[in-house]
Amino acid sequence: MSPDNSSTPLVLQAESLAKSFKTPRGPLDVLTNVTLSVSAGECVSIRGESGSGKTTLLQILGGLDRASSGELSWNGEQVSGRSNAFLATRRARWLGYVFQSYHLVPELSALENVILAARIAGQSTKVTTPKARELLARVGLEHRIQHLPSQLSGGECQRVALARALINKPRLILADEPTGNLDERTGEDIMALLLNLAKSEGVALVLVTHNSDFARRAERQLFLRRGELCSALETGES
Amino acid sequence: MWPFFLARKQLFPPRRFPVFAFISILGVACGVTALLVVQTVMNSFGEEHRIRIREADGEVTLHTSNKFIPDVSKVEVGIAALPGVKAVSPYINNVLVVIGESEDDIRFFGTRGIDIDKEPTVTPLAKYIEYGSLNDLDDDRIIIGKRLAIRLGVRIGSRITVQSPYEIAHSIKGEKIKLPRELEICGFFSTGFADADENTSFVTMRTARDLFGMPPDSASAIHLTLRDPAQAESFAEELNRRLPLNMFAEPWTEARRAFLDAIGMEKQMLFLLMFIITLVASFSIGSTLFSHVVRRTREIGLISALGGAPSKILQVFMTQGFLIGILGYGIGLGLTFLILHFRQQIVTLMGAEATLLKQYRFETVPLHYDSNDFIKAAVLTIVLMTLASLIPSIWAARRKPSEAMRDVT
Ligand SMILES: Nc1ncnc2c1ncn2[C@@H]1O[C@H](COP(=O)(O)OP(=O)(O)OP(=O)(O)O)[C@@H](O)[C@H]1O
Ligand SMILES: [Mg+2]
Repeated sequence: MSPDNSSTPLVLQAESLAKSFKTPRGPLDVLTNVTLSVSAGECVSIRGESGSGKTTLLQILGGLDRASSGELSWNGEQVSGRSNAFLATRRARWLGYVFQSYHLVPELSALENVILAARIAGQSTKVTTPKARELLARVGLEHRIQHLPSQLSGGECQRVALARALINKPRLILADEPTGNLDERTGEDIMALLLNLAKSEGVALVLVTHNSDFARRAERQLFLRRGELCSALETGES
Repeated sequence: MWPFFLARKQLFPPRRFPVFAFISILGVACGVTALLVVQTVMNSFGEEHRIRIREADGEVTLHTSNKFIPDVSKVEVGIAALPGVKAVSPYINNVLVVIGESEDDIRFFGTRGIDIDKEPTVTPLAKYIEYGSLNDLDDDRIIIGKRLAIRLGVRIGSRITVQSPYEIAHSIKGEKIKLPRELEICGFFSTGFADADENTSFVTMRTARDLFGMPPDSASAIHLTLRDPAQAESFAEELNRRLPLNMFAEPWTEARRAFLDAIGMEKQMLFLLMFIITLVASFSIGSTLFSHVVRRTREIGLISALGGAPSKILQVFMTQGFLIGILGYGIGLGLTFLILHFRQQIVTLMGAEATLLKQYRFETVPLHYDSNDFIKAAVLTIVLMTLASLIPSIWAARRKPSEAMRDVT
């Protein structure tokens, strides 16, 4: 399956993913059978109890961890079983990440944090700098681009992280509770920004959140329960 | 090259004093300084000794296994015509006896018959003469070492009665012997080598031939200097192939092999010692580096998430070790030059001037740089620092990104 000859290309395809961790008390089966397809520009939300394995799932979908079994493809390209270096180069081009705790490099300014992501993806600073400035302006930080993360508020840090996730024009953004560390109003702002940016850039989004309001704004709502993904209808929630 | 950019930023974070970089770089700089100062001082002393040996002996000496070299002026001309030869001078080496007031007061010392015109072209004798001058030397006069003068209890203008062991041998056989010769002391020299100053004297070639019963135009040896002193060994080797069996050429390095080996050995042992010290230092810097890397576990996870390949993560941290090595070496180099520039003042402050003069006969602390020392130290520190960062870097690069991101330290 190649990304070019399909009319609605699948950005992400996961087939019967399972993950178990080795623990002193025997294996812990976090994911048992996860099947998920995300098409271009689509927004999917995932909810689930704490400890249900949402972060683990996002990490596997993003290639940061490996499934115990199952198949994973990005843009129609099989990636399970490939080397870490291969996954890294693909990740830089296809994927954007947003984390609950921002994960900015503390030694770099807002602008440099955004540029770093582009440079890791192999672009030159010259080409990227205007783009990074523009993205930072779009998240409302044009006046704070030279500030270090320690000089920014949580909401501002997450805005920088949004700009960073978008700098390489990814096909898919994986967001793991992006508003988890923020107060309600700031969370609302960030979520609106994330959804708008994803829509306007045509980027698919997999959003993990505890907040049902946010989750409902997605085109597809899924729940992670007992290691499997199920849709809202099956669980009776809405 | 983003790994370099990130490495630089992590080593020198903006708007914050770079404690980690400061301590590591200073540590390396101190190690480099210690290594280079010790090596250069050792090198300077060795080189100074070598220069003095060359000055005293010439660069290559032609010896004979016979009593003397006959028709020496012909040999001289032949040698002087060889390519690479700068100056040639014959000399006579032997021992003299001074018989004092009482019969059992007999003192031996070496004497060297020299050609007053040619000798200064090979050995800078005039440089070492403290009283009188080489020009005062004639067939009835002698120049002696300063310490020998003290031993003999003589001063300028004193006369000493000398005899050669050759005459004594004749007298034992009951043959008719020449009367002892009376020589006037016309100069003192001081080379700084106690041995030479206590046991050597200079007379003219003619006086020496007369004393030791040698025919005209003969000498015991010929020494020479070369246009390129470094060629001494190969020149001697080449010459030996052409010389008759009863003559051989010896380079200065061979003549003083034992002494030169001792100096070389000393330098090597000190290098080994300093190397161990540097190694110990690099272990401590290695452990600092390790905690520096461990503190950045979450960033390592992040870089992975952004698509940084493991090899690039390795680069980020190895570059930091490399930078510490390079900067530490650079600062160490500066400190080394600074310390060596003020070497005289430092020795004075330490009160070691007297020892230097007495034990080494150096009026000032000599300074001879050896570029090899600097290259060795540079390679050593930069490689060691990069290696010290290699282990934490490999650790970082192999870290599973999912676990690195969950890290809470
Ligand atoms: N490396 C690991 N080794 C063992 N168990 C692990 C490991 N990583 C995660 N787990 C376990 O897997 C389960 C799922 O963790 P995960 O972080 O994915 O949950 P989550 O749904 O994101 O929870 P939360 O909503 O609190 O963030 C947890 O029980 C956790 O203890
Ligand atoms: Mg989680």
